Amino acid sequence: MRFKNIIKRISTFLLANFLILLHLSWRIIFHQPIDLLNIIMTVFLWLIVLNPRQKYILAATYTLLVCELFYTSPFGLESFSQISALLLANWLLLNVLTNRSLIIVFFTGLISMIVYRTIFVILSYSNSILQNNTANISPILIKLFFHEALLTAVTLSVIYLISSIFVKRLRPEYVLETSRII
Amino acid sequence: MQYHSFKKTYLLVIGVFFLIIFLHYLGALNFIENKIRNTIVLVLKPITTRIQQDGTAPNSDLCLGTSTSSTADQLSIKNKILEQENFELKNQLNFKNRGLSHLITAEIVAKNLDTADQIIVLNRGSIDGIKNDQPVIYGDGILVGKIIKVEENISFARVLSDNHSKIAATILNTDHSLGIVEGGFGLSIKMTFIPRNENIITGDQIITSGLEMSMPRGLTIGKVAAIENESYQPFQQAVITPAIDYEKINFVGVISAQ
Repeated sequence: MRFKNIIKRISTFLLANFLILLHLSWRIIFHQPIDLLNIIMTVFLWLIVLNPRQKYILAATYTLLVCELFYTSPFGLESFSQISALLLANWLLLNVLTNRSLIIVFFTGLISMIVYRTIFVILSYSNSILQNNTANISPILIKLFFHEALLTAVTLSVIYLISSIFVKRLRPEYVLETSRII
Repeated sequence: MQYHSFKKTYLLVIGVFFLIIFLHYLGALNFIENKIRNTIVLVLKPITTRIQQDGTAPNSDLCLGTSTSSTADQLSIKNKILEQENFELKNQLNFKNRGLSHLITAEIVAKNLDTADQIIVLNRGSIDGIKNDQPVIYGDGILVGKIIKVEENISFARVLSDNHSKIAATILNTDHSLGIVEGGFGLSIKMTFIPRNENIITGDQIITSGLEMSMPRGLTIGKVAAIENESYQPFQQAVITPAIDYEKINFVGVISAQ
């Protein structure tokens, strides 16, 4: 049992590292608008939607903190915004949006990305003001963020749609439930 | 029950997160951060090399120069620069003083992960002599951007098309118009603060003016694509076609004033 737990933890750690590399490579390989897809947020939101577990939140924290090394914004600003959005999404999925329909998944993705960008904009502009730099919210920037949110939400929905087919059919509890109904 | 367990998770995440942030700003994590960064860059290198081989991005090398069209542009610019330098001895002297004494070749290993910024990550850092504000060029003097952050083994350069990028530039026209080249979220580049009475024609070449520290004069920026001269505005501005596609470069040079 302990060995199984160790294997699970190692696999989560490997997944987190793989995501970091995938996210960085994605930004190099693809150009706008495809590179706007936030792979880390998409994958962790998908995992939270499927199975809300503590380890995913911790893995997301690790992933985002490592990714922070490749940001030019003050350390912690990006990861704080993204972790806050993930925690909110987790809370919403457990307490408010308890249904797992496609539309709920799509809106969870959209709300999370909007929350992430809102927190990020507020923090980065507060930082600019504190450092006596000029800060202005451009409509182009908002448009860019909206595209990012939409792309991430659509990708999350597509991944969820594909995965739910397999997850529902291969989950033993589901089979037991179905047989009980029959 | 589940909600309760997540309450613990929330506290744990927040605690760990702020502890790491605190340790980072204290500088206690520098060694680990550099190790992680180096490992990621090392793993990413084969990926970028593969992209080059596949032809997704042009296979470029600073020593070999660029395509024929951009070489012709470079020659044309050099001619114009030489003409100007004959009349402006003082500028020539300044140019020489700021001369390109040292060029550090660097590879682009990553891009900044934030979609709002147009920033490239180079595989050279402070140990290679890279410092903040040093210009980053492609090929034979095409300006790509400026160094904004330097770590031990890597550095971050802000590309001209970034929203926060501002470079003093001059147009190679009869008036030698001066202005500021600004980026627009990776979508456009324009030159602002050009006096309204000066004549600009579409196709005029734009180079760095050398009016800012550590930025030599004569680095190619692009060509004038459109002119916006509104009567109610004190200055006119020009939309620029960049000399290269910043998304498709793999090797750059950092001009070090050593």
